[in-house]
Amino acid sequence: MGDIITVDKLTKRYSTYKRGSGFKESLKALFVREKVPVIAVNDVSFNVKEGDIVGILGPNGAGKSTTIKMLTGTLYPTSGSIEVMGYNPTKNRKTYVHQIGAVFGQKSQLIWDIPPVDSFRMNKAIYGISDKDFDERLQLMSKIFMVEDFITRPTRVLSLGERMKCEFIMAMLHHPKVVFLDEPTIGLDVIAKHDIVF
Amino acid sequence: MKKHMKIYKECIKVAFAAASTYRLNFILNCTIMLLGDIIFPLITVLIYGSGAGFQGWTVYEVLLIQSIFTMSTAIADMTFHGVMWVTMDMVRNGNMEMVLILPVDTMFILMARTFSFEGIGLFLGGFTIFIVAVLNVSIPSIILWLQFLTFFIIGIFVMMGIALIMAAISFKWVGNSRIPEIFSSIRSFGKYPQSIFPKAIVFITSIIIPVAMISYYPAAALLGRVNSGMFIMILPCFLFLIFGIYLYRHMVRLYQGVGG
Repeated sequence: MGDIITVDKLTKRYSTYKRGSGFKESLKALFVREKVPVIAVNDVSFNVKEGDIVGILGPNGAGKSTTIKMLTGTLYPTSGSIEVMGYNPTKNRKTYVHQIGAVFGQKSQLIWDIPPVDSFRMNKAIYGISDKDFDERLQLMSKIFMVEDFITRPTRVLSLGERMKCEFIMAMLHHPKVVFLDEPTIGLDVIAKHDIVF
Repeated sequence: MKKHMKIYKECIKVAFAAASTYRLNFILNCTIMLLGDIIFPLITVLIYGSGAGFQGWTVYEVLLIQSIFTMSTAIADMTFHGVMWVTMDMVRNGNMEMVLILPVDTMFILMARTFSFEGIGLFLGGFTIFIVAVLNVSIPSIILWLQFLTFFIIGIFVMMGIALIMAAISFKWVGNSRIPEIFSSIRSFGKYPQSIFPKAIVFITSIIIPVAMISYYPAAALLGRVNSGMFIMILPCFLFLIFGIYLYRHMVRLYQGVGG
């Protein structure tokens, strides 16, 4: 099988401000702030073949999430190139993101005040999923993740694990060709973790 | 277009579901918005009642301007003002990714998702004052109504332009809670007859930030006070909206996110 993802010399730099702690430093920071360059991702290159499941491991702050954000097209790289399914994620964003799914474990796509099933319907309209496909996929994934009992309850009353299961379903409803998962198993029990991977 | 209509319909359903979840909050917000904005025309009545006023303008003519402003604000609050609040919040918390991964225009989806029913009370309040004001000025002809409608819609475009520029600023000026106040201050120049301002202010409010189109020009149309210059001012209004859209899209591209 050919490469579905090609990343070449990917680099992301940005600037932030350094500030000490305490009142004196806070006061000083009102007038003078030291600009600090940060290299979030430095010259990363890799390939992923079609059908592969690949994990990125590294210590905190290594740039794993930033790399995934650049792969999803939500952040622009400073230099280097990315090609996913022949697309440059930063160009033709709408066409590209239609083909991918993404779960960011620390952030939510679900709408807080309404049940997850209504958020799913919102994505159905956004992705233009047919009624038949939507019903079939929702039924299948509801069964796999055992979410039938709680997808009609408001999101705000769900546990972290229940919400993560719904986040995963939300990212998969449009049947994406490539899925990017950033800490997707936060709060999940071992059975659900197993179901996501297999 | 059909897809966008479908998404918008779904967003309205969600807004209704959210409003019905917090019923008391919804009723309170409607009432507070109504009281907060409706007090302004009432002050005008008090000013005129004490013998003062804007030279060359009757109380009903000024009320007409202010009621149009209130209706415009209500429509904007319901349909697109949310983009400013949600952008500020998302940039600060680094949640913009959740919108950027959707295959739809970021600006459109944020406007649709922040559709709010809470402006209904404000709109009805403004509409009531509008009817009272219109009944107390000479009844406009159909042509004048058409001119009014044209200016009114373009005025809403100006409001959209201001909201987008303010939202775009929040990408650089992260977490600044004063942005909505700047927004409100700029808009408030549209609440008064332009003839009370110095020429420099009239130039700014007609061409640079054309807030005069929000309520003064539509009211002038209904009162038969339009001149050819007002029609020319349509152009800067469109340019202002285009600039707002361009700036917002440009700033979205510069979005840096927060730590992972």
